[in-house]
Amino acid sequence: MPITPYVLQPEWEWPITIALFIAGVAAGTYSVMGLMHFAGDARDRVVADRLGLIPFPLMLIVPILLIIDLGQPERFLNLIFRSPGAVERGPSPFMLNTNSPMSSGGYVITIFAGFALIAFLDSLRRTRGWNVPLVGMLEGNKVWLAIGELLAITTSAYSGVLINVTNQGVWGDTFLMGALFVAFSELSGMAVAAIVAGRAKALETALAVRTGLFWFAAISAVLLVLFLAGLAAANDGSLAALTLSMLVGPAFWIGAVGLAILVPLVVVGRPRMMPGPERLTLIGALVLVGVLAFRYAMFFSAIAYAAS
Amino acid sequence: MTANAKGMFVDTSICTGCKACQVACKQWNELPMENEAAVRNHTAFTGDSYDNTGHLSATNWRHVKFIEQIGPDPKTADRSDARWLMMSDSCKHCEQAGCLEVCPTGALYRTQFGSVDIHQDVCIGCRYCVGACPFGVIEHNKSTGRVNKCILCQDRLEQSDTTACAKACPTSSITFGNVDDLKKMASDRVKSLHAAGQSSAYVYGWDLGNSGSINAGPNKGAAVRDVEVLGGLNVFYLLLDKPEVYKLPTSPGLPQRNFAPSAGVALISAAVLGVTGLAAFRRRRIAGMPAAE
Repeated sequence: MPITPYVLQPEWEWPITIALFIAGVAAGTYSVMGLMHFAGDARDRVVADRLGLIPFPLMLIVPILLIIDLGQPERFLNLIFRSPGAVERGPSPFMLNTNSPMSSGGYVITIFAGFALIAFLDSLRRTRGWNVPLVGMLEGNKVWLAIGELLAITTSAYSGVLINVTNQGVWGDTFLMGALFVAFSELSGMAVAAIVAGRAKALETALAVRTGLFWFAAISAVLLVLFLAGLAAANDGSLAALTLSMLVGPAFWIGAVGLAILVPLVVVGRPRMMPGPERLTLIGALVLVGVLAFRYAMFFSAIAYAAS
Repeated sequence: MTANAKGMFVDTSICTGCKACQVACKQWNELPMENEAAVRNHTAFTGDSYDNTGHLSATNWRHVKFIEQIGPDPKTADRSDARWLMMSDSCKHCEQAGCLEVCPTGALYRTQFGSVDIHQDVCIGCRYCVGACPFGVIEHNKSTGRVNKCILCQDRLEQSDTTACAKACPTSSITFGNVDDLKKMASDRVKSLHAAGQSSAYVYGWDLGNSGSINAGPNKGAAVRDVEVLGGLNVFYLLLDKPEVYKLPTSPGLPQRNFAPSAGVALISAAVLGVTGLAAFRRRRIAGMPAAE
């Protein structure tokens, strides 16, 4: 069994949890906006344009939190540009270690932030009439959209794959972390769409968003069950650390399972429970809280594992 | 493996637990007390064992483990099976080093001697390497914001000297040299111990073909055999009991074992989510709800 109880803690706690939650929401929001552009129609334009305003400001917060969590924040550029001291990495001015999810993830997040900026400017152009040179040329460009979607998905997966590639209990026990983080990130994006559609009273978009919420929650539930089965199969105490410890157990059950998964499943399964857009906004907000609890439970589970 | 890789063979059968290696390491590398405040209130040491530091850390690059096996019931007078196992532990300078593999900045690197060293001027303190090491060796130093561990006395090796711990060891429990020579020495030592009736001896770090059975302590009678770990350890051990008794993992893995599967499954789940999301918007259109425009 590769996981050992002797591994020390990387001490990735609140700043990392919040940063990667925000990055997940930004990526999920961008992704749902892309879905609306690909498969929606004119009725979804209002919501899609508003969604386009969200990822970029969020992506501005992410690096700030990630950088202040570093032991040597002033050296953060060493992630992208090779430090002169790292002579073993060759003559390239760039630093890329393809064996390290953190190294490749740094590039993906940076490039995704660029796409989020373009979406932001495009939404400003549409909603406020701002004249942004060149951005209008990308309108309706499906190739551009597809690349943006791919980057959003990779950003969604990033933090899951990152903690999957460790020897920490819970984190490294299965190879489902990436998939799980993608699912919860997309779920958070659909939750943001629910909030925006509810506030905009975009009833027809809300109909599709409700269906999306239901199915994204269902897929997340399936992945979560597979993940828990994987932890049980590992038989190293990680399942108990995640689900029964006082540190993360309540967040896991109440937040990740209750708010993020059961709330959309139950409410969408019974449409009479949710007649108006105000309720959809509330559901979206609850799901977002649930996704934050999921992130907390996952990041802090390594501490719970070590304590057990 | 690096040609002429340097390393250390730690023969725990002749370690007396004197801690000269710990002191030499602290002294040569100018490592501070782990918790200086604890020194002032006399709680700096474990206090319940001759194992005074308890673990490796950013400031304890070498740690002498004391494993006290006092028979099945310490309350009884029967101490016929009582024994202490000692082991001087440090970074193993793995051939496949998880810490080095995940380092995103190139701060961790393989030296010309095959050891794993840290460019302190490159490390950003992201701490990814900490969770990657299956032995719990490398740690974040909060006072410097960087990570630290044993660097196999790189500065001494560059001067053709031996490591400080090996030089200080009074019983030659720690031997420094070429890894190929050390492997032969280790195998010879295991065979001589077996010939002398110490059948527990085996090598942790390389599979040199030795096997035996534990002849004392709680695991008496259990079979043991040489264990190759992470492609081989440049600092490796002769042990007298199961690896877990020394708090060593039996079969540690590189964290990268999860990289491709994790990314692949993430991509598949993203595709499923994408198709489902597209269907959510398409279905409404198919359901015959015309666009408002």
